[in-house]
Amino acid sequence: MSDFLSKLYCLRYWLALSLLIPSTQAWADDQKAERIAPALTTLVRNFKADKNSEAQIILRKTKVLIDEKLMSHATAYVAVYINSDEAVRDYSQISVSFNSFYEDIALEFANVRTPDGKMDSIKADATQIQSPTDENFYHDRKELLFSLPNVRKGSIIEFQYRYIDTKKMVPNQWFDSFSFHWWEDRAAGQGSRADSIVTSELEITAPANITLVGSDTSRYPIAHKRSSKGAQQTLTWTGKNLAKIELQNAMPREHDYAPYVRVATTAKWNDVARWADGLVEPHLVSDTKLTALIADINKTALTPEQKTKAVYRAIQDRVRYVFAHVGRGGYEPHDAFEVLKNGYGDCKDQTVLAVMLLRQLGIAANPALIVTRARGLPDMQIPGVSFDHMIVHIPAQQGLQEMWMDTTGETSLYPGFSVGIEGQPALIVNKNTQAISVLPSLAAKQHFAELELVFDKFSGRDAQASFKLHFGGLYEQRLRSMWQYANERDKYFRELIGQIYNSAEVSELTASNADNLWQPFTLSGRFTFTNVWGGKQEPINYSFSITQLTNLFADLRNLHTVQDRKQPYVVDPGYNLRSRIVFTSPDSDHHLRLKTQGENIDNAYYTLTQTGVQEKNRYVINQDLTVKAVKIALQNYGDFYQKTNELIESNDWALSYEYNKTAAELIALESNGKTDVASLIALTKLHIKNGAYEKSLTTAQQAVKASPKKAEAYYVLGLAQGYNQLLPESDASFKKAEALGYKL
Amino acid sequence: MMSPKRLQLISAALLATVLLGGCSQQPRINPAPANNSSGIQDKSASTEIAALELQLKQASNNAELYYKLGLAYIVDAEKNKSPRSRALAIENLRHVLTLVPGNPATLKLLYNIYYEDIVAGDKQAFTSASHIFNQLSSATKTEVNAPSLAVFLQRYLAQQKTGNKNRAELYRALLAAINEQPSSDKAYIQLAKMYREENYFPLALATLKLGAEQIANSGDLYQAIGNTYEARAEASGCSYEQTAYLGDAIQFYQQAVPLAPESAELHFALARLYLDKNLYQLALHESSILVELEPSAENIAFSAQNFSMLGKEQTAHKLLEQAQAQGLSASDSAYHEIYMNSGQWMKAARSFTDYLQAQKNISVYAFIKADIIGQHADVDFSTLIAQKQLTVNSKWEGAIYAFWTGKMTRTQFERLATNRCERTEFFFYTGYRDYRAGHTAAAQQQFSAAIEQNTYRFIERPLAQYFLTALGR
Repeated sequence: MSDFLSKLYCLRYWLALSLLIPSTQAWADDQKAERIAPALTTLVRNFKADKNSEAQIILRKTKVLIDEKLMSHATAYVAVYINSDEAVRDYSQISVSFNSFYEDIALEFANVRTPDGKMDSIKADATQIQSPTDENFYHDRKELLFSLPNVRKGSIIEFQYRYIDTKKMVPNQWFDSFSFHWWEDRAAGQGSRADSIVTSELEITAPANITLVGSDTSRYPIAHKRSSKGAQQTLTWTGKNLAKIELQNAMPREHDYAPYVRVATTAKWNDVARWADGLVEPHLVSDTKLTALIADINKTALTPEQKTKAVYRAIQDRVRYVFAHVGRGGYEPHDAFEVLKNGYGDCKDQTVLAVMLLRQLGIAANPALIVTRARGLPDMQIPGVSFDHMIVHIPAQQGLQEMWMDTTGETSLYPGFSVGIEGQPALIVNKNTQAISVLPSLAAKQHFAELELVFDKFSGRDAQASFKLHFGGLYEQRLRSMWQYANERDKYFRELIGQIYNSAEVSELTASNADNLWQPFTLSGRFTFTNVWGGKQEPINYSFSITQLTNLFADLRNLHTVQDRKQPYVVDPGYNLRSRIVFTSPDSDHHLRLKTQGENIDNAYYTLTQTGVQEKNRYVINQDLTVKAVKIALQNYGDFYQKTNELIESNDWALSYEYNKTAAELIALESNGKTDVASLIALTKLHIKNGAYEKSLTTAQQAVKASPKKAEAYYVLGLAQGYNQLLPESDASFKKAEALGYKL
Repeated sequence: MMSPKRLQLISAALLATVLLGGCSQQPRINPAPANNSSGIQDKSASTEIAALELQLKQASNNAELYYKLGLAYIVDAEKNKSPRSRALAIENLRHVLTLVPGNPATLKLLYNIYYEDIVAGDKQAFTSASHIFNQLSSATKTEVNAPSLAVFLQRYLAQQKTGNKNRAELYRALLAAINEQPSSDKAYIQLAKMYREENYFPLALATLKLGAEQIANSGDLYQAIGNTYEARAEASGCSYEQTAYLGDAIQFYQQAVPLAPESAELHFALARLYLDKNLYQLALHESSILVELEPSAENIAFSAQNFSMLGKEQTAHKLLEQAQAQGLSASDSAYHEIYMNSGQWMKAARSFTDYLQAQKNISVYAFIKADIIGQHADVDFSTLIAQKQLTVNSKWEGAIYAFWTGKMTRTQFERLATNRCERTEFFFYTGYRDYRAGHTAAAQQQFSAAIEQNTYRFIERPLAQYFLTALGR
């Protein structure tokens, strides 16, 4: 069973496989191998190298023969022209992933044609079967690994391997999927590459009486033919001149970027659901210990919600997520009571235990097979068995809304629903299931990070700010997980949070709810800013930008340039970053000078709302940035790139609290409550100095009223009236002032 | 019959204060941050832009390259009137600020662009300009105008264009500018100028004094206060009735001198005011400083007139020759007035002919001068006078003309003379009529009365003295 997807994605939850097959032959006798491709010299004769490509697949050909028992025997051939040092490095060692529980694999031959036309073959000791080293789980995924000699720029390599089903995964059914590109691991674990391909062929031959359905390939440059000869039917798919695929981050999860086909002997998902149900149901069995646990829960949990929470807690408390199920075929769990007894289990074990508990507590629940985001979003029109996770589905019922519960996280927030499965396909394991479900997607607002920051302490030349970070959705999950697993956790998190203000030190840090199943994880602490204030009569400067949040919680600064972007760009899920920053005046004699204000932005990708409010002795800003869930076609990437740069470079908030003698005097006068004419005149002058002309008019009028013979009172009234556009009145007041002896 | 130069000079100076101040906000292409060696002026803007963009591909975080690119786009925008280049200039300069936040040269350049946009009527630009303005250092702020001054200028120009006057809108803009930039005198001065134009002299003075409280070292503010006191004295109809204001004006001009010691304008004003106050030695001294600082033909002629009015004919004639040598126009009034004061009527007639020929319109006073000079030099100016349009600027001038042409009686004329300025002219013109009619005693009495009005800078004063002398007194 070749599965190109396994070369693309790192699987966190590889389902249980079993039985290491010691007889696996890494090396087949070349003498017995029958080439399925023309001779290399023939291929080379018709091949025109593209000088600009690093490597080209000259031919990728796969022939699959399905027998009456629906067991397949397949042979795959690949010939690659190497035209760069990078390609030399990547293609010098080839690995082919396979599932050792269900299939056997053998290399039939591997040759190198050097640039000067000499042929060299693989050495006998240069091939092996090994377990991948990138995962800690015990499982049955293996790799056929072989190294090719004398691969140089200008070489052509060719190899052929065969893989044979040794067991049926789903009795009476056959499923597979094929990529028309050859996905080759890059050296040093740097992802994969899929070079351009001249010809890619897939040929499936099966008894004519077997139904074979394939996914629609008409959206690709793939020609499909079906023919029959005697009792055999043959289906072929041929692609010519397929372009190189450049993998980039934030690509769409759909597999559309790479031509592929799924083929199966059934078009009904119910066939898969019934098979999976048949694997699970026998294991929903109890023992005394499990029965006692159910009884205990029943005593304390009365409502359906309390019961589901109790089940979640019980599994989180009692069963560790451990994968140790070699040789079980991947989809078959342990008995529910056994999982409880062992105290560990993988996703399907935990699911079986949870379903068992829930059902015994009177709550309808089923297992659900999931394709996680790590595997992308395959075309699910044709049934297949490419699931990599299992969780619990609780349908809507009395006292409960529909819920997807995942117990496998390490003390995750109830119900454990994570971004890794959001919006992904699910097959509810129930004999009545007819179709694929789609897991819900959270709104952008539910994936949030929120910063509350209050500048609240001034000491000498230093200032301090308390902070609190609240999280939801993906941020809650990731930060909680990082807290649980980080080495030198305190140091790591201080450095992390310190990125919000590079100039400050995180002097206190506390995490809350890291192990709490019911309350979101939060972080709080203090920033200390050193030498930021000159003291009593000096200004203190503050600034904050939305980019201080995006730098930490988003990755907007590392976008491909427009010319480098080759793939559509996807933001999924959308998310929300918000802040409430309180900038405090060091004392009442310092007054606000707002230098710049953050801008509001609303476009197809971002909504940023920012407000600033002056309160007594402090200025409070609120920012709310929603990065929308969007799929951006390549032709629109330039616009997205520009809008992103506009966001990053938008105005920040900059303000200072400056010592203001006038304002200090004003406050002193306003607060002393004096209503004598001298105070009112002084107050009027200060209002005028501050540009508070309306206030100046009021106090000037009060001054004249308090002392109708006071020339200066009329003088300031004349000024105040003038600046309030009362010009004739102003002139009259000045004349009165002069008449009373004011020298003007 | 006062020198017409006087008010023209005052208003031109004040109007220029703000309008030219606003125009000085043109983006300056020169002030680069460190190491400005872009050589933009040596290449075409598009070549420079292409070269800089290429360099930026290699060094995408080089702030100086972005700055230079911004400058190149400004040059291109101005040359090709290209809004897109202007937008790209802004984009690149803003990017500089993300790389080197607070860079003073970039902030100033960007501010100047937004300032221009405000003046051009871009409503969005005010917010952008204010954002940048608030980030400028105190020192840089003194080199630019406040954003609201651009608003004032934009509205002022728009009102001029449409003829829709809305002074309140302009006041508001100027008050906002004061608030934005209390350390700048421009808005105070322009606001006071507008109040003065509306005859709100106390408010104008109070505004300027408020400015002077904030900005102790502004010569322009003190000068504006002096101007305003002068104008206030003038506005009463006769500044010699308000000599206290003239004293105030002198006091503020004097305060301005140490702050602008090279300002000829201040010494011109002081010379005039000292003459008005009959402090003729001081006036002559100020005249000499004026000529020393700015030895133009007009200033020398002004000094000559002062000497002439004080009866120092030799010095006056000598200075007049100097002024002539400096290129004083033959049509300048200084010639005929000085010759009239000294009784050189034929010379006066010749220079008055030059004067008349240069005028499109003539005043009532020129009309009368034509009669007086014509009678004494035996020259007939009637043909030349008939070609000119007579301009009557006030009711009082109308009265003079009516009396002079026999349409108003002496009694009616006397009744209209309500201040010393008008009485000076009443006594002189009626005295001259008596003089021509051979009523010597009456003429002597009227000429003496004209002199006793102490309107020291009136030309009627030296002429009255001349005729009195001619009559044997």
